Amino acid sequence: MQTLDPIESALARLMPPALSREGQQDIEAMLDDLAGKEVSNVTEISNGRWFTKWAAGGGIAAAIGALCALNFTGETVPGPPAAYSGVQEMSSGLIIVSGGDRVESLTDEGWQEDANGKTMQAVRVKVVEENNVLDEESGIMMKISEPREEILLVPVGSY
Amino acid sequence: MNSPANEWKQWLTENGPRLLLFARGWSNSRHDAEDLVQEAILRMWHHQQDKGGSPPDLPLVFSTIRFCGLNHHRTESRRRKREESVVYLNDFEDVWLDPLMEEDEEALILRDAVQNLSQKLREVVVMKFWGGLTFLQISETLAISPNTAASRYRYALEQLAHELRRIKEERHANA
Repeated sequence: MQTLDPIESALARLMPPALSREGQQDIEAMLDDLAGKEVSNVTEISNGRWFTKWAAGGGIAAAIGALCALNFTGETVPGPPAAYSGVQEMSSGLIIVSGGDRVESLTDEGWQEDANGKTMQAVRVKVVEENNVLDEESGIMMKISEPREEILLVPVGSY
Repeated sequence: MNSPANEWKQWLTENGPRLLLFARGWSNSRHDAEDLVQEAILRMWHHQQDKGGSPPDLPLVFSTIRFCGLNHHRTESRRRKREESVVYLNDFEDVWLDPLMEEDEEALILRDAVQNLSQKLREVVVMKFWGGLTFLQISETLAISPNTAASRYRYALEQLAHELRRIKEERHANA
């Protein structure tokens, strides 16, 4: 059995205090609120601007093509990452060095009509936005990943 | 079946103290540290929704607290420099660690010594000793090698031992 360093033995006689009652209650109320909002998967209809950018990279074409080839069986098709480079300054003094959207899955949601009554193919897209962020002051590089889920409407080309 | 909120609340009860201790090193007051913890938990909640919604692993939470603290430090540093001395001098309850026994002189000396460690050393000590992380997990959280994490931990213990000796000798000489 490994013996404790004498300093570690002394440190073991110190305990971090618990959150204050108010702090604990604030966080628990936040958790209740968050859990109450989680009804089902996100069904937000996106304007697709990020999608257009990603599609321009060619990645989506293959993925949608494969999805169509599956004759709407509902199987998911992972997409390749679309990257962008170039430095972007954030307001907090952090710099986005590089990043992009990584499509984790595409799922056919069937046909839907858009606001104009036009038949569209609904595609549920799970995306992870990943950014490499540099803190100028300390030089620390961090990777920030933010998952999101969107439903995109793609014009139906042929039947 | 345990609801998601209850699962997270149980996780918070178990891990809140160690998260607060780590956040305290990135903030100027206990209140700010609690705000940091809350912000990190909010970020973790959204992050975990794609992974089944269960509470996150501690290394990721520590990393998120660190990121939030870094962000806050930059925006608040100018304002806090004016207020810090006043807040600290009047906040007699703002201790980072509590001794198990009130009259434990060594523990009380070490409590102050831990607070006065440099941030690089203190982070490692807090995550290793009270966070329960391995050196490998600490190295991933801080983007350093496991050897560097272990070295910082050993060096921190040496500094704490040195400070404890110094204070004891000083008190003995003044007695």
